[in-house]
Amino acid sequence: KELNIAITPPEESHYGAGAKAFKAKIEELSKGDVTVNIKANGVLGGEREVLEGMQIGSIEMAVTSTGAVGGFVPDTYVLDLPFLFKSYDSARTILDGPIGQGLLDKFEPQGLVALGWAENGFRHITNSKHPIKGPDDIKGMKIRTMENDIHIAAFNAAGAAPTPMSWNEVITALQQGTIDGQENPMSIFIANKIWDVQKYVTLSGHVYSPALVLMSKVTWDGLSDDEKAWVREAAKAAIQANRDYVSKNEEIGIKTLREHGIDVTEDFDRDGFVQAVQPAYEAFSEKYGSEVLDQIRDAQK
Amino acid sequence: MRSWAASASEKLISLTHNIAAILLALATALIFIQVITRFGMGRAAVWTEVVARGVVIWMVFMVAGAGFRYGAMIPLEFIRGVVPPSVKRLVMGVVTLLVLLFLGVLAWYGTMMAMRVSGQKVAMLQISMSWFYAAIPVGALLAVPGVLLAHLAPRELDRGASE
Amino acid sequence: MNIALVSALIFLFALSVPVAVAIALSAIFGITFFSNLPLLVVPQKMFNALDSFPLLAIPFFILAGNIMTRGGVSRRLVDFAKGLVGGVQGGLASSCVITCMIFAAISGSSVATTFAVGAILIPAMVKHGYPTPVAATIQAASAELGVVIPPSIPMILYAVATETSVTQLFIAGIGPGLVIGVALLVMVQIWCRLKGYGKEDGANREPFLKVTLNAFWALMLPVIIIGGIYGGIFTPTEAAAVSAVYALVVGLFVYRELKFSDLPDIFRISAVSTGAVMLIIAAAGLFSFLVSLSDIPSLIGSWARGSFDSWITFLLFVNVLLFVVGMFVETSAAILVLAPILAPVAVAYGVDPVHFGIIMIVNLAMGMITPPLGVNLFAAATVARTPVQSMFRPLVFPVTSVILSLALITYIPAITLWLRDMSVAAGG
Ligand code: NA
Ligand code: NA
Repeated sequence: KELNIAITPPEESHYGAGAKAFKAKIEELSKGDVTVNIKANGVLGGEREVLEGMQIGSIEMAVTSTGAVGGFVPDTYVLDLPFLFKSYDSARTILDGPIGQGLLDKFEPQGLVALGWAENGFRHITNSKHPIKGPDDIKGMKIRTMENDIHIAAFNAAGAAPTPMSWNEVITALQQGTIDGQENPMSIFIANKIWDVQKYVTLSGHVYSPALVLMSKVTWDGLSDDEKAWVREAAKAAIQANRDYVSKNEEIGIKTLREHGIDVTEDFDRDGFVQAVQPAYEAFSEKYGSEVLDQIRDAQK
Repeated sequence: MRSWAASASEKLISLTHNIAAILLALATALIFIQVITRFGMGRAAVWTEVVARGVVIWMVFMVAGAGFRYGAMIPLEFIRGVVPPSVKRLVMGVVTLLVLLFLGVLAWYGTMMAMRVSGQKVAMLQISMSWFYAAIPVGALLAVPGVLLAHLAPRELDRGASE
Repeated sequence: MNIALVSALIFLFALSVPVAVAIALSAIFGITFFSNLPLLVVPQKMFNALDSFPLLAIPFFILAGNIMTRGGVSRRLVDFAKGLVGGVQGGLASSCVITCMIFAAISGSSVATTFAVGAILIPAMVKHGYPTPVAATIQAASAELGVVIPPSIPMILYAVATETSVTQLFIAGIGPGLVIGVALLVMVQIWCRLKGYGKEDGANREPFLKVTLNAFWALMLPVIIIGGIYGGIFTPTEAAAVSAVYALVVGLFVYRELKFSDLPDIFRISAVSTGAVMLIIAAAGLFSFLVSLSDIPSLIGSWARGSFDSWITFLLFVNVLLFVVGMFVETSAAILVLAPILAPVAVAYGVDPVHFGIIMIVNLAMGMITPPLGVNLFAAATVARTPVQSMFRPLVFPVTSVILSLALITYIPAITLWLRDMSVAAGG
């Protein structure tokens, strides 16, 4: 059997690390009966497109962020709420536990088998104007966000001017000043040499950005029980490799940014921001209910 | 083709053509608004980009009928130029059938796909992805009369003063 | 699968099936008989190939071109170019090159440039005694600059396909655009002197100051587009929509050559041209998905990676490959399929991805004027009302000069990169 794993970043990335670990593990377990091709750089399409591809069975597997997943499984929108998780430890523990499993189970009716939670890491804010220490500093700032209602609502609530923009225009838009800032996990800053176009980074960690190891249900249903077990085990290896890569990036990231002359703000008014983004929580609960949200909060008490 | 069928087809193609022209104007206006709201007012309209993408996709498939009708779909004409008229007639018949086959595949599997994505929501807009995907089967079906007209009564688009 | 795909494609092209349909049908053929893929992938990939913000620039550029032609903007640009260089022998042909260079700084499409400039200059050249095929050839070749000088649709496509910066590609295109422009000007001068064309080109020329003043609002358009992109007011994609709106305002209210009643026709014509081009891009998206799923890219990639001893021989191979591809394949499709395969290999040979993108674009732009499939040839032939075949012999002149320019651009990276490096240094 041959499995294609689609990822949008290059092979040398946190997703690539996961995909490579999956490939090594399953080829070992199956003694070469199952082979894996890693299709990196988005050659099989963007993330939303790859999700559709898995639904119809044209792509077997993917490691993907949750950016586009909410359109398919709205229950995952809860993870887009700002300041939801306190730390890497609590995010990973909760997603690996029953709450995370409950969300994974929602994928199957959509034709997707969710094998587990990988991650991009916490998202931080960069900008070219001035250090962001509290909500006042972000007022009116044009911050590029993903096309995601919750993120946009949160930045609006905090007083910024969220500007959804396709990623290939972002770096030049930052350089030309079309927008003032953007927000992403550390690995994206480093991969895109963000210091060429930005001066300030605030380690806001405002959103924990998870990722998913997914398989097409069409592919899954065609596997034997042995093969399914191998896939599950290889997915675990993929998630471990991905998290190790992200942890390492987070460690060296701050140092790398400073080496390139970036002004890094670690000490910021977290409580002030948490206060400021409350309207986004209210809007969310009204629209999607607060059941899972309360579970996640309770688990961190 | 019977004359009433031909004239009904011409009207249908003309209608889809006009709709496409309006969609093009709409997309231009949306992106212009996006620039104005971001630069002029400091706060970008967040839905313009997504809507403009959907509008342009609808435009592309809505105008397919007129594109085929007026022979604007860019073929390579080399063989047609060198073979005798009888062969040319045959080749053109085969081409028309192949184009209809293509539109048939688009209409059938486009419908299936539009249904398949009904559970998916378009980012930023609380509508089903099916509304975007429906452009493919709708455009493909509406293009059929254009292909038939082009085969039976070929005509070029009047480019007016632009030539 | 791969052989089946390619043979089906060649067969359908030979039958003169429209390009978009030929590409899609050969993919459908390959999926049905040589894969386990569901046919649902046909609408899925075609849809997603179009669902991309940078691609929105295409309809806007086409629309802007049509508005400028009808609204008197193009004619004033031509008058300005005639005032600038029209006095010498071959001055009209030189004006054609210059107008295309200015127009290229507004338009992202060579076909749009051919229609907009050719509609005025081809009849003028014919009136001044240039043989029709020669006039059409000069026009087709000059309009090639439409995609080399920024803004440029193929550059946007390359940027999307390889995740390179659109703005950096735009800046990098300026040097090569000037090199090709100068090469074409020199070629036109030699050609006219050899054959005795254009001895009367100086007649009916208006004073330079007058045509410059007349063309003021038209000449502001490139300033606004370039200033707007580099001044952070809009993105390259948005610039296309802005230029359409600007041309509309100038045509309606400043030059007053455009009437509101002209607008429906302009939008209808633009919609058809857009649909034809975008359907090809949609079909190419489907086709390139099949290519990406196969191991061809990694095979070509790993073969090319190991087969050359330096970037110099690798780029020679790429240029020959692209020249042949450009003869048969439409530019957008060629970029979407080949750029993701070749760009990483080029980087491995130490070639800057922006430089490589420009090489691909200049080479494939030449493909627009090389038979058998050259969209500029078709467009110019349509405007000039001359058979495409009549242009084949005269084409030797411009193609030679573009090949020489391409050699310079390939092997002197500074032509492409010095402006980019300066702007990156300034922006950092
Ligand atoms: Na251009
Ligand atoms: Na060609």
